[in-house]
Amino acid sequence: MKKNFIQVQKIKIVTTSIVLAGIAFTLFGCDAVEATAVEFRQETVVCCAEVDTASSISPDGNIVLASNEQSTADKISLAYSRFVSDKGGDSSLDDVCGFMADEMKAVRVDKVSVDGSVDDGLLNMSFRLPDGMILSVNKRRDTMDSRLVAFNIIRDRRLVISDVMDIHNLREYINTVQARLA
Amino acid sequence: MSEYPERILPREKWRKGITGGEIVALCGKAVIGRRIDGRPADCIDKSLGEDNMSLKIDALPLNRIPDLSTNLLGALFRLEDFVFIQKGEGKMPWNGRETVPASMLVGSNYERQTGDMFVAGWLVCEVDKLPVPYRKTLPKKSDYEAFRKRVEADRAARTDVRTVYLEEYEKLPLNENRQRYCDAEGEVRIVHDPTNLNYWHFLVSLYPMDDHKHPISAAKTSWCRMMADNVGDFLRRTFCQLPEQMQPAAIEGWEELVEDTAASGADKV
Repeated sequence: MKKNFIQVQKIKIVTTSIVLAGIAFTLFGCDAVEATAVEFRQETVVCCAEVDTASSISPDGNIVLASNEQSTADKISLAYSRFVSDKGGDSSLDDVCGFMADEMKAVRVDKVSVDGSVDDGLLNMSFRLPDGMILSVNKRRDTMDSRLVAFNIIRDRRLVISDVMDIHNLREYINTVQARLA
Repeated sequence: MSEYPERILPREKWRKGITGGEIVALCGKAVIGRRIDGRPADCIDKSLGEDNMSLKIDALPLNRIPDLSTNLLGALFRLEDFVFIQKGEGKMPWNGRETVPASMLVGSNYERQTGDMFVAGWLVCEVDKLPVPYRKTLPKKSDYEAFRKRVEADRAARTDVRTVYLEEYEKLPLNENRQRYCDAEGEVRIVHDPTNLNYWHFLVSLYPMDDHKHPISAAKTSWCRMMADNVGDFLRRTFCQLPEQMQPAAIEGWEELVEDTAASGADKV
């Protein structure tokens, strides 16, 4: 059901884009088409960054729904870029981020935050799940030969579960719970 | 006259060794707090929403855990006392017997924090006895047997925990490197650690499953780091900014906590 919803929004965006480009061409010629397309893309990106609910319908049914197109992988990438920027461009935790993102990109999330310690080789990736729970996953580089991660699940600032687990099993566990709640 | 709050100094006939359980029994909403250096805006991450804010790792660094230094609020230690940092003789452990003399209140034993700071707090009842999962890789059977014996002996010596059954070595699961491992569960405890200049100093210590008397001292091995990482993460995500988000509860009858019953008994004799 949600897939269909996203597909409909994709079609809507593409249609809107073509219509806008057509109007621009008719009124102002070729350059205006390009300018309109750039503006449209920028607007879409802004919406993606600001609105993160995966399945809400905007009251006006407008372009804000383009945010649904932002995947978990995109959100992780954006959050990690922000973290790297905060650390003065130090990207030495790229490998740890890649390891975690490979699995966690398959989880449906609202928001992502990335923190860590470059000196300790630790990366913390936390996710606000659609039901409001926080999943916080910790991985150290020195355990990269193992798929083990330490994680906490927190609701209303109270600990629900704390455990260590293979990250693949963690992802499957979260997916299963999300599928049952859907 | 020193600016240092004398009321937080240890006194004669007070005792060492107040436990988290005793605090909670007296006041279920008792709070421990820790000074966080820096401005809240720089130290708190709100990217998951205002309701889910957390302390950044730089604000509560990994090397502070285990044995995170905190102070118990609600008795004599007040929020304004967090500006004082004990050092030198001032932060050495209290001998547990004498009232600390006023001569100790000299500039070399403490300093007043002047930079930006705020106080993060946690309910004692939510931290003390918190189970901490960790995983021990046990390539050798003899290592596991020794671990199992220690767990059994430790459990036998305690009355506050249930006994656990630990599998035969051959039945332990294998990790992706084909090594056997055991999922264990340690514990967080709030440990009284009075210093010469602060009776209300407590540590957040981590105990492994096979030894309830000796906390892990530094996160040196991977399983120790795993415990510390998880507890640090928990503390960063569950803190409350004091007093903005939580007013520390007053511990009514705190005198009961500090009373050295052995010393009082000796006096009566």
